Amino acid sequence: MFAAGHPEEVVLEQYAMGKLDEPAVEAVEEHILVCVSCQDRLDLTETYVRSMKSALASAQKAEVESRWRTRIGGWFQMPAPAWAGAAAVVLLAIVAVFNLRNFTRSGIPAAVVLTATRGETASIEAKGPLDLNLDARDLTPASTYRVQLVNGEAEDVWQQPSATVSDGYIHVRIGKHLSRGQYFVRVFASGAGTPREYALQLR
Amino acid sequence: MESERSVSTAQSSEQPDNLVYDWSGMVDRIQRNDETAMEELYRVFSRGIRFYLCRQLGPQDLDDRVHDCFLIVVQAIRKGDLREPERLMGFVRTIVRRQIAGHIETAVQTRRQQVDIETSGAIPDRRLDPETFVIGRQEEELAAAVLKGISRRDREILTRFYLHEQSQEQICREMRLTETQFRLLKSRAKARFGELGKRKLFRKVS
Repeated sequence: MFAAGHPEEVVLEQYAMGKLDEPAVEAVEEHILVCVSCQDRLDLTETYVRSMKSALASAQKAEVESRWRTRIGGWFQMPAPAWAGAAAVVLLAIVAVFNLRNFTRSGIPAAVVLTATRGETASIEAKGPLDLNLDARDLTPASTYRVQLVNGEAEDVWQQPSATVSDGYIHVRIGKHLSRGQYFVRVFASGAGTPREYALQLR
Repeated sequence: MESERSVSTAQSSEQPDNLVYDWSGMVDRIQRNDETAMEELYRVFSRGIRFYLCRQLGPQDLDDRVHDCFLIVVQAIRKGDLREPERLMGFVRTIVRRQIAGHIETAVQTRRQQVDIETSGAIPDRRLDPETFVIGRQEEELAAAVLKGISRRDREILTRFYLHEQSQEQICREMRLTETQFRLLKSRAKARFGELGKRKLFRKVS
């Protein structure tokens, strides 16, 4: 993990992407507190990761749009019966999607760790159930916590009235279907006022 | 009293020579109100604390926040709250993280109060300032230039890792890569990014 006393590039990258486990995070952060050259290295790594994510997302979007344009262009050359068939398929697909949204989310749960610090919002694909691991360090001590999920308009989406801390995290599972967008997870200590809030982006 | 740098046995196995400090000695001197020790503490940690706070909370009120952290650290050392002086780095990190958590909770509470009192209150503009926006766009263009210069397969590998956040193991298994091939591709892309960035900067300067 460390080479010649400094974190390796792959470790800094994993830290920048939020993929290091807690003991490793501790070691890296303690080192960065006192090492100027590694602060610069981390800055560069974060810039690279952020830029690459952005460029890859744009490239993927452009590729999808290009495929649709090619496909739509091909449709205008189809004979009339093929048009009728295509319309029927689209209608069936709309009905299927509408029904799917009313079913409970199924499939392998996607795990995501949320920390209540400013920086990159945790971002995950909107499919399947979610296993949230909420960083509970320095949370107001309580026997249980109420966990609430609100959407970008602060509308209540999901709640768990009592959750507990285990290994420094609050673990909750959201089986409900969630559409893409910005969400906030709020943790309330029982009887106390100020919640801890985590941001989550479903893409 | 001149500050001394001697090897701290708890740290020497992990830190390079230029980062080995006598934490116990520093703590002892601070407890005896040695001004040079406090200056040394500030010199060693100030940039790191500033770096960490800026990443988590942004540049606003940064000087005040760094100062607050130092006050807390020094007061805690003087009160004897630091039970293991050789773990000073870990202690400073804990203080900084607590400050960050505290600032976030205050911000959340303030936001709630503003919503309650004034439903048509001003909402802060969360967009990047124009300069940061332009820099971000330029950096994205550099990354796009790197992607244009690699094969479709290599682009897929990077997409899986950076965009879909798949693990190295999964990618290597599904794309039939060795760990070495995977790491080589990533490091070449990153090196190319750095190279293009330097070239762009050199063009601007000249």
